[in-house]
Amino acid sequence: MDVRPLTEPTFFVLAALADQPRHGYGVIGEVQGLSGGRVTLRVGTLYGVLDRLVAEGQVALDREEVHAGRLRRYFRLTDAGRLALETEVARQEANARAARARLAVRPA
Amino acid sequence: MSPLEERYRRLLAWLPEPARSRWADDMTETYLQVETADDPEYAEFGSPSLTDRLDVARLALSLRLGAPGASVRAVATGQTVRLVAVAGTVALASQALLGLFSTAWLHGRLPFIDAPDLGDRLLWGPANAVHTVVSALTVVLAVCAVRGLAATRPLAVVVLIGQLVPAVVSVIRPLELLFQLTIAVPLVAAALMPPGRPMHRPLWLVPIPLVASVSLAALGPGEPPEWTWGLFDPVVQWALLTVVAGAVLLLRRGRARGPAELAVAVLALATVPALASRWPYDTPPGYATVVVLATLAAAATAVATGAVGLRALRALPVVPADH
Repeated sequence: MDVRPLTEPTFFVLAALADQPRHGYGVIGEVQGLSGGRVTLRVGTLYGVLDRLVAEGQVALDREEVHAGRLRRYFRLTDAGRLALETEVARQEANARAARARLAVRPA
Repeated sequence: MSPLEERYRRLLAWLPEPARSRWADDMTETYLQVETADDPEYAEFGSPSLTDRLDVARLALSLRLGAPGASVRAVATGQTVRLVAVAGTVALASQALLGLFSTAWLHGRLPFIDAPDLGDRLLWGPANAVHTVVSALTVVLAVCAVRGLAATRPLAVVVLIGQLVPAVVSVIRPLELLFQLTIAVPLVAAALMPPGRPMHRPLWLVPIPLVASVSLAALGPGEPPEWTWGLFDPVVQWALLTVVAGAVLLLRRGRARGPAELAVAVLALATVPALASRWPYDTPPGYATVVVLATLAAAATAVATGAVGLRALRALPVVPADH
């Protein structure tokens, strides 16, 4: 399994799909909410990330719906995707703990 | 279908197959939702923004260079770009290392080797400092390219700017810019190179610094014969290397053809402008003959390997590489 840190867009896309399947626009809105408005995914960036995550087996197609005559695809997190997200969250938590411990030590 | 939807579908036609068939419907739907196409006036008169166009262009380019989800043919194109970037930057780095070595020698920074006595003729200014920094970055760039690191792309852009801007500003004769055209080819390839795994045992790269190191012979005692001077020219060395590499590739049997042949064709063709910039030099005797012969050999190599590589690439199917 790839143990490189996830890029920020990848991290937020996985996080956006963690609780329920979402379609493209839903993922963009969720990422914006999760990041407090800091990360706004472009549509091309989102589908580039989704293409890679689908190829790596971390995200899968959940279902397709027709909306106003157009196809709307819903994506879901796979077990591999959940594991990748949990690994990244653990890595970021460990980093944050280490930094917080250093901040707690006030210089004399 | 609203006019806005039509405009987005035309924009998404930039995506190569099979990604276009897979994503165009879904991406159109997402774009229309993001752009609040519920507004009837916007649906009639709105159009994709410049940012949308750049976003789709970037995705289309990465898919054409073998990003996940791309076709088998696009993956082979991406491999070609990576081979051009790796071999080209290693060649540039070999010359950069020689330049750094010479600079250190002239300034007496090499242990156990005395610096030549140049008196007041040894100059050092901002241009030399910039050149030294760019040389060091070129060496780092080659390492990043071989390792397939994501840092390759931004570093290639920095080196490209560091090489081209001082050259364009200080050039005396337009002909000299042809050399910059040659070195821009591997740097642009490195700037486009898709990140990937490190090259597995890249022993085929070893001849590049080895051949470049023959230039050290020019620093030795006694002058080499004049007819050999052309062989100390890095551009001639690169051209001859592509000729040998092309011959080896075309003579081998039983292996899949495509990216390697195309990469040699691109690199051989890239040496032609720099070689052409040397045609007017008629001293020392024999130099121009060596350069012209190297040009002809490089051009012939580019044609032969390019034809074989292109034919192999076109034979690849446009189906997802992941399947």
